[in-house]
Amino acid sequence: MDKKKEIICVAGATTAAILLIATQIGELSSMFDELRAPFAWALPKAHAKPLPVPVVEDSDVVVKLEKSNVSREGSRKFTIDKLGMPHIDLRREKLSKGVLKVGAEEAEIYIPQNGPYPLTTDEKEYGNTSMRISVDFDKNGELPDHESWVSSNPVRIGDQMFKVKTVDPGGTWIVLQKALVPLSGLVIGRRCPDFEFWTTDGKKVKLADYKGKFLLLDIWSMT
Amino acid sequence: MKGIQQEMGKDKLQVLLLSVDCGYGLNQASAIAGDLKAMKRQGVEDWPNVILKDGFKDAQRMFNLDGYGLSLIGPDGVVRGIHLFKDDVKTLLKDIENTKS
Repeated sequence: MDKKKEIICVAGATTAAILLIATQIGELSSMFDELRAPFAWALPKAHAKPLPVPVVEDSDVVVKLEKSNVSREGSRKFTIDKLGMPHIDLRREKLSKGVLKVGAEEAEIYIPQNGPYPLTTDEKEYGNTSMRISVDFDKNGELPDHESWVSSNPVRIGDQMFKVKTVDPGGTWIVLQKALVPLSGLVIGRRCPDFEFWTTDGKKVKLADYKGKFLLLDIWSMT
Repeated sequence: MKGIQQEMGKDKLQVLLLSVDCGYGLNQASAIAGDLKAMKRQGVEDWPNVILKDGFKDAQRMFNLDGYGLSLIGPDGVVRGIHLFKDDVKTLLKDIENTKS
């Protein structure tokens, strides 16, 4: 064996040994985070172990989730990089899917395959940071923004509102609870929730006022 | 949107403005005054305008909308389009009319 091949073999064996050690360290404890950091790309992803489905109340619905090939744009999170530059995280995230029956209809619901699954929003952060749950009611396999709901608010599935009660840290089930709140949220092909507002010139407007006409809701600001 | 409304007629298409200015820290009085100025500039001061006190948080809670844009509700109260731009509205309205006829 010539010198070059020998060097390549030794380098290969050393790399394999380092990876093996890194993997072992990775499984030992989170105390070794600093040691693991340089080898993060080579380590198996940590997954929380699924918990048994908890005992639920009558109004609860347990939905089992399975990993799917569907992905969506990840939660838009503002971060500051090492150079102090702000940027928006727009990576796609893979989703787990479950099927929920609401009345006579079935809805496909999706949550990220990997946690954590915060059900409340961090007020210090920009925007809502709670887990987004997507509801593909039309089952077209597409999950645009308007089919995603923040889990800190009740989620509309069909014509029923649900509170997200618990999510298994391993992402294998979710417990939803029928919420006794008025219908909210727009879903294409479904009725618009009733609303009643006071306008800036002191008039009351409600959905029923627009019966028989097309209505455009325009979210705007003067800035 | 004024052009589309003129084309279709006010009796067929109405616009409800939902202002998120208060979400940017403006107090309600300033938001109302500023909005009116902007509406006059656009020639739409007669359109109903609603101040969402918590800005986008209210838009998300009430309509699950988390950005600017237009949503179209049909004469029957059914949602026909979400997060639309002006041209999308034109196309969608045409499609709906064509489906009817």
